[in-house]
Parts: sequence; C-alpha cells; structure tokens
Amino acid sequence: MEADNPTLLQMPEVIMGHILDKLDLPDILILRKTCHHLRNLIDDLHPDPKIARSVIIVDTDFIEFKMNLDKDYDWYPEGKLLRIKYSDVVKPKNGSEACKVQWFRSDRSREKFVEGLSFIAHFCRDFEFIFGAQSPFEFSQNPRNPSRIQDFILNLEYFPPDHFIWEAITHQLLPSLESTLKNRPRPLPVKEFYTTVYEKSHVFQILPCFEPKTLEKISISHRPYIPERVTWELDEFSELEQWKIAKVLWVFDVSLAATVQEFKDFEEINVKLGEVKVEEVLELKETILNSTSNLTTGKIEFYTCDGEQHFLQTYGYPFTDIDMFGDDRRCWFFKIPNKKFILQISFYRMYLRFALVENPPKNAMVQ
Amino acid sequence: MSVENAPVVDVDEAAIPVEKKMYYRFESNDKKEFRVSELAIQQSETLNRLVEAMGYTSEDVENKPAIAIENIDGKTLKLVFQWCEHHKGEAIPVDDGSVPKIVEIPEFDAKLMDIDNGLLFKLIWAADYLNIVQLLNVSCKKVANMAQGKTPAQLRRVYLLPSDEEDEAAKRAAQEAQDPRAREVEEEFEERKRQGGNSFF
Repeated sequence: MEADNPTLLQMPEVIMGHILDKLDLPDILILRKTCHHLRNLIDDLHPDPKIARSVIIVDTDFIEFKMNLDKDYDWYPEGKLLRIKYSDVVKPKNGSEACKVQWFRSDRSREKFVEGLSFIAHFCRDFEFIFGAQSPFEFSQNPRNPSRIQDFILNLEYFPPDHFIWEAITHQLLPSLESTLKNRPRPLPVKEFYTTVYEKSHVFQILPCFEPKTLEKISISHRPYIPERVTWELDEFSELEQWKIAKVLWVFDVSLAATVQEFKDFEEINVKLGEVKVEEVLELKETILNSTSNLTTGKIEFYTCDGEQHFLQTYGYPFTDIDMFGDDRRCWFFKIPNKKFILQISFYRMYLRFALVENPPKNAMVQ
Repeated sequence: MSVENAPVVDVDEAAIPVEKKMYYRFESNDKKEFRVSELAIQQSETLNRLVEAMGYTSEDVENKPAIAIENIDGKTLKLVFQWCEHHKGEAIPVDDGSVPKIVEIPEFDAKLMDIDNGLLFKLIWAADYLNIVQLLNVSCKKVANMAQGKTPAQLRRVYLLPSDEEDEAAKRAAQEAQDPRAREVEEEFEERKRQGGNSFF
C-alpha cells in the first residue's frame, strides 16, 4: 500500500466491490452522489440492490413505494424498510401545485416538494431509476445463488375505475412500469408476484416482464367494477413462459374459463372455475394417483359441480368433519400407489379442496 | 508490548513455542518482526500457501531470515496478526454464494478496528492482499456501517471525499482530456442538478 493515509477513493475496485456488497441501496445511492469518481465506479461495478420485497400501492391521490432490504419492517436507517410516498399537494407558500415526496425514516422523515411533475410521473421516474435499463444496480447472476426479489407486489385496488385518476393510472403509470421493466437488459428476477387489479390487461402489462425462470408464484386478485360474475379466458395466460414455469397459482374473485386439467403443471392452485364436471375431478384424481400431474394441493371454487354426488355413489359415504376454518366438508381418501401419501379430496358447498396427507383420520376409509 | 519499541513481537502469548508449537517469523516493510502461530496463518490463504511452499522446520524458522511482507507496514501487520491469532482455528467462509452474506462484527474485531480511517483502509488492503476472507468481510462491513443513513455532505466528511468544488476541477480536467464518457456522465450529473435533485436518491 503506497499511501500513508489512504482513503476510500484509493481502494482498488475489488475492495470497493466488497464494500458496496455490504452497503444498503440508499447508502449506495447517496455515496454515488458524493463525487464523480464514486459515481463512475458504482455505475461500473453494478452492485446488487439486495431488495427482498418491492411493494407499490396505488391510491387515488398517492402512491406508496416500499422496498424491504430484508425481512425487517422497521424504517431505514434503523431498520431495512424504505417507505416513500408520492402525492399531489398545493404548496402552502404560493398556492402552486406540486408533487410531495415523503421518505418515512426512523431518524427524521424527510419531505420534498417538486413542481411541474405529477406524483405518478415522479414515482415512475424513481422506479425507472432503481429498476430501469440505466439503473446502477444489477441483480447478482451467481449461478449458485442468483439474487432476486422475493415478493413483487402491485396493488391497484384503492382507486375506483370511475375516479378521474383512472386515466392516468391506465395510460401513464402502467405503461411506464411496463416499459421500464421491458427495457431492462435482463428481465427482473422475482420469486413471487402478487397483484390486485381491475382488469386482466393490467396483469398482462406487468407479468410478462418478469424473468420466467425465477418466478415461482403468481397471485392475482381481481376487483370487479360492479359485483357481477366475471370470467377470464386463459389463452393468453397459458402462453406466457411465466405461467408455464410457475409452481403456485392463486387467482381470486374472477372465474377462469378452463378445465381443472389445464392447471396440472402447477403444484398448488387456488382458482375459481364456473362449472366443474365430475369427469374433471376424476381426471384430477387419476393424474395425481399416477403422478402425471404436478398438482399436490389446491382449492377450486365453482358455481356448480356434480362431483360430490358421483363420489357418494362410487366410493360410499364420506368422512365428514369441520375443517380448520370451521367449514363443513365431506372427504374421500385415496391411496397413492408406491408413495406414503394419501390423496384427500374434500367437497364443500361452493368449492372443493385436494391435498396429499400422510395420516388420514382414524375412522376414514382409504380407497 | 508495542511494536515500536520491540524488535520481535509475539502477537499472542500462547504462540510462544513453549509447547513446541510451530510458528513462523514475518517482517513488515518497516522491519518489524512478528511471530505467528501456524494455526493463525491458516486464516490467510496467501501466507498459508507461502509457508507450505517453503516447508520450513522449526530450526529453519529460527535460522533463516524472517519472511518479508514487503508492502505492509508494522502497524497494520500487527492488527492483521492479532486478528488471525484471535480467530485461529475458525472455519474460513467460502464465498460460493450459497449463503446470504450477513456480516456481524464480533466484539473483539470491533475493538481491534477502533482505529482511524487511514489505518482501517490499510487493514482492508492487507486483508485483501493476504486473502483473509473473514477479516476482509468485517473490515469492509465496518466501512459500510459508517455510511448508514448519512447525507452526501456527511459522507464526504466521513470518507474524506472531494467537495463539489474539487470535483468541478476534476470534471474540467476530465473534459480537457477529451474523454467522451466523462463528458456524458457530467452532462447527466448536471442535468440532475438542474432538475433540482428532486429525488431522494
């Protein structure tokens, strides 16, 4: 080491890499603002953002953007939760309209007023900065332990479609998120995607942008405009790589125009189908018993299903009890050949559940 | 016993070869000598390979000159070997990416690293040069912790970074050097400044 009193700037790149590795996202960004040398260095080294969870909650008059840097829920800098809120306000000083950005922190929360930019545009710019093509960050591609976002959550449920902001959300926010994610050099690696939307198209703007290989769970909650039965066709979904590779699928509050068999590549499902025919339930049973389906557990809601009557006639009286949620159910059990598990199929009034269990109840009959 | 007034330093009393424990002698670039136990040396991949290749016997250690470590000074090397003696026998973390890199600084290390920044950066440099994985981890963590929750101005003070004015001069020099990339970066930097730095980040 040549210098007598070295500083951070004299550290070789490999050491800077180690230091950046141990810095949290906001500290890296602040460090990047200190001087040109570090800015260039950080942009060259592309540190890992180490984001465990990214949450976007869109309301009628604000967007909340949260990033958990680990499982900690305390605000930064004491904890590892970054929480930033963007809203439109009228500046008390001169009455002009501005975007108010608040950063909730454990030390002293900060706020800024930015004129000439809507809160949506401002959020989109920050999102682009963290996740876009020019981001200084890059998720590690270490083959043994590539980094990825555990949960990516996009919640659009708090603004009703008849609100004036609807236009801005659908024409500005979602297209901007979509283009930010699409223009990345590598798709964003996410493990679990949770979203609450009013329209199927909202899902289509975001879901295809994620790295298919890392996505394990897709959870979609639908908020209908008016309480009525809505059905989504599956075609476009089932063509998506992300859909084909994911292991867990949850779709709430919308029925899917599909047969049970169309979900056989998932391991776990929680879906709603309109009419479920007994043939589909029998096929589900057979494919699980002969291991031609990946499915091991699931809940299928329906409007009508003739399965229970058929089971009663074919397999005799069910085992009846009340499940852990307090609901009545009628269960049949089937031994899976060459495995220690037993398939349990339970009928409820408006849905059925299936699961692999090791120990069926004592007085239950196993087929 | 301080390095300054003793020609030979036993970093760890237990390393004195009463029990005929194998140890080695090292010399810093300012001619301070250290005796370090074989087990402690294993923390440093570089030194461990070196002594293995040399194949010294206990007699060799005494009779041959101390092994020179030419680019580390005595003050830094003392810290390095104190650390190695304290942590001797501990497993060396393997950076295969299979475990999340959460680094805790143990109390001993925290006390050891209660030093000025210049020395801390020398220690980091030495840990990297000697390939002492865990020392590099904790020392880099210490530098990282210094940044937590600070503003750019505070960080400049903490890390002795150039001020905006000094930065401007560097910028002019870079432009004069006609480096197109430097100019591009400058323009973006200026653009963000013009926008009033309206992002927290």
